[in-house]
Amino acid sequence: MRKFLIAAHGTLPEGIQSSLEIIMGSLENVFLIQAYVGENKSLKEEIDSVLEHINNEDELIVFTDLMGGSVTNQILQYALKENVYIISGFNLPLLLEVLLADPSSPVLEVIETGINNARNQIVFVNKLITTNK
Amino acid sequence: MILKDYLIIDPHGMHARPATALLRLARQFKSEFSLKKDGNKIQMKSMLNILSLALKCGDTISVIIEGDDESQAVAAFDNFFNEEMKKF
Repeated sequence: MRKFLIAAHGTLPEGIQSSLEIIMGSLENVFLIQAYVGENKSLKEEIDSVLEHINNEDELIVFTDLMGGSVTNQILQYALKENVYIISGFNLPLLLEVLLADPSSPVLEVIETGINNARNQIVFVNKLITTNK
Repeated sequence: MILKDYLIIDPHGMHARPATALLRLARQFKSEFSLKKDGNKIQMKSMLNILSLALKCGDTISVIIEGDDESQAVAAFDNFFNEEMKKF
């Protein structure tokens, strides 16, 4: 089964979950890690709690906020395994693409396509409008 | 193959929620689906691809359906574009 983890500094995961639920409805198999807020659990403990729900047949796609940030670094340190796929610098379009992808599509194809399509969603809209006039 | 044109009736055009619903509707069938507007043709496998067509209220979109269950699919699409699109 394909499962997902959204991990970031602060409450960004909860916020993006809210956006996703408005667009997609209720989410299944989505875990959140909100680092450095709330409970006094270490990031490692939070990662371990998520990994308890992942078996060898599952695929876990992890979305982290910043390449080089402590969340991505610790996910890399504690969670990287053969069936774990880590994408840093997520945005809402990327999450929509990956979460809405056909579960039977190969995970690497889903990730590559998702990243390319999500990247194209970052647009300087004013410039686009001016160009199209 | 079935090719059918539909009018976009939502005042906000084809935005995120209807695009998601349309993608999920298509996935219920075995047929392959494409959307075509002004020479742009996309495979209906990605919600962002649907949004990339920038469909506005009043635009007409061509839906191309190919597969064994295309007749059932077009009936479902009729309902989607004519009825469900009013609810977003």
